[in-house]
Amino acid sequence: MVRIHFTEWSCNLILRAVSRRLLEIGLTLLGVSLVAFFLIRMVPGDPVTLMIGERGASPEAIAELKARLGLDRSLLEQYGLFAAGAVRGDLGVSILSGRPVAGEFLERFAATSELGVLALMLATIVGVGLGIVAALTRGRWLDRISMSLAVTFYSMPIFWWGLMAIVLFSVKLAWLPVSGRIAVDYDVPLKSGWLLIDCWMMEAALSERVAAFWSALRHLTLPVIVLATVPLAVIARMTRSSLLEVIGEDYVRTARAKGLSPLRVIGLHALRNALIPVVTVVGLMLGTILTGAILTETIFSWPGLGRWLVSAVQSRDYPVIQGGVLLVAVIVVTTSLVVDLLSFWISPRLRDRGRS
Amino acid sequence: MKRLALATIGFFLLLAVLGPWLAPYSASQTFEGVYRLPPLGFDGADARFILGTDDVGRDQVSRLIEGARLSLFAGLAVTLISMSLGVLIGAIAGWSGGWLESVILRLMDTLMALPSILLAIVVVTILGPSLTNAVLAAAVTSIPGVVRVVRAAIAIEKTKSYALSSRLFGAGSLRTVVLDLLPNCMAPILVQLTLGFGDGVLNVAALGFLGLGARPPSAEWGTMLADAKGFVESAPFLVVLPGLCILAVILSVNILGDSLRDRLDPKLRKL
Repeated sequence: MVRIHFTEWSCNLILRAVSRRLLEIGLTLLGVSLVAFFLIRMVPGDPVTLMIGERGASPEAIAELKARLGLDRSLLEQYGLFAAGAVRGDLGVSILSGRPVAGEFLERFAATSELGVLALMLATIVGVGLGIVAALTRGRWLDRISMSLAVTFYSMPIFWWGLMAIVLFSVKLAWLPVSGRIAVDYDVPLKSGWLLIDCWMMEAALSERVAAFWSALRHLTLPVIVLATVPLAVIARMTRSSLLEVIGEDYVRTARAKGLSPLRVIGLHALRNALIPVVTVVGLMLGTILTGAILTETIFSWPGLGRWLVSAVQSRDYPVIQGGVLLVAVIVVTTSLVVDLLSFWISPRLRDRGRS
Repeated sequence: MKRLALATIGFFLLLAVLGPWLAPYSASQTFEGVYRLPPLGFDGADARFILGTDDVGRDQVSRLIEGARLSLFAGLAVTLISMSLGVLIGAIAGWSGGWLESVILRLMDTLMALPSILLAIVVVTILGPSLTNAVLAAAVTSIPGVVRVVRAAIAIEKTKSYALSSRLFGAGSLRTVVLDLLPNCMAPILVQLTLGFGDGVLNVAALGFLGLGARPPSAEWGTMLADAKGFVESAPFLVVLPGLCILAVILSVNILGDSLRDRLDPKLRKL
């Protein structure tokens, strides 16, 4: 492990930076809540009319429903109620389903995170591997192939890529299912929300649990690969350039001069430092994953956050949009804070820059 | 690689500009009895339709050419809008500093904390689905990136001595920023411009694919994909071709952007 000594001075600096960031985060979230609240209300059509249809309801019934949902109050009042609730952790109930927004969010988030976390893991493992191979064979054909692959993946329109994957693996070869999270034959009770885990937790014979797990895994394969494509490319490029930079440093030359095997030099000395910026990039990929998830979930009918929010826009489900978007923003902002702190902690250079 | 990328971009630009003269048929002309024909070389192909026909008997070559015009010009429009607004806002933020900079940066943080596709979807739902509105929505989502890059560049340049001497010679803020600082920030701006074009094409196509961009029977590539989604099994080439066009354009733009970045600013190479 890299050993770090924190002087009182640098602790102070971190504390100041963190409190400043927290203030900025608070302002950003305030902004997000305002944007989400007012933007969705600018969309023509309101949830009540969409729900009961243009005809078939008396004006009194519509007025009563609006009053019950609090939509008859002034916009400012509505926002005040929303903001006050959000601070207390209460995001209201969905107009369409009548269930608490926070609860629905968690359910959907579990589905999206199972997809996203696996995609990020795949992207990191393959991306770092590809980057290392490219850096070690710099300028030769293996490097060229790896980097051509990376720029192609980076440019991939993933909605088309997903369709292509379906054409090839589901339609032509019939290896993998087209959509959904698991085959309809299995009724897995959701506990963690991650089907791969819940399959083992359910009370059934071992053979059935294995079969359910296998089905869930097969359903995950294509969406995970599609979602991992762009992050994989970014991580591969970052790993390559970072490793190339580090290989030129004095301590790597020293390690080589000591007669260490190339494997030890790369694995023990170079890679550890080269991966610092990669950690940052992996963290920042979260936004890419969330955006990609909206398209991926649409293609593979994955019941996650993206589809939930998009259908809420279509049905003008105000509480779901304003609450859901706020929670997504909380996740994005928190991750970028954690990533900043992490890179500050790992990287001696960043700490030193603060000192001078 | 770079030459191939340039040639590809040039090819599609040529198609976009000369489309109406190059296309064998009109993009909306339908032919009786020739539905979902495969491209030449496959069973059942018709020599009149080199790349086959779609589900209502329209020539794919003509539609892809028309699509090049729509998609490339949409990407260009996205870039122009987001670059001009982004450079303006970024320059103001970088030059002014202080509270104005903070306000602008928080606003951009706010936009960046929303998943960009979702923001675009909401904007399009407000304005109504059309190619123009998809362009506006895609532009809105790409402004924050430009603002950040330009602000950072201006903030660095303004501390340099030439900026000070420009002020000492009595140049006003506007003159200093536009004539002295911005030209020195051209490297990151140019790179951003190139990559932004690719993103613009991609985002407009994504909105078209979601049914929120150009409306059918438009031949915008994303819309063509959305139209062909239902024929994935019976006529896969209808899905393959428009996607390949999108990939080819974005890939070429990214390759050019990379080499531009390497040439203009070796320090940026890492990103």
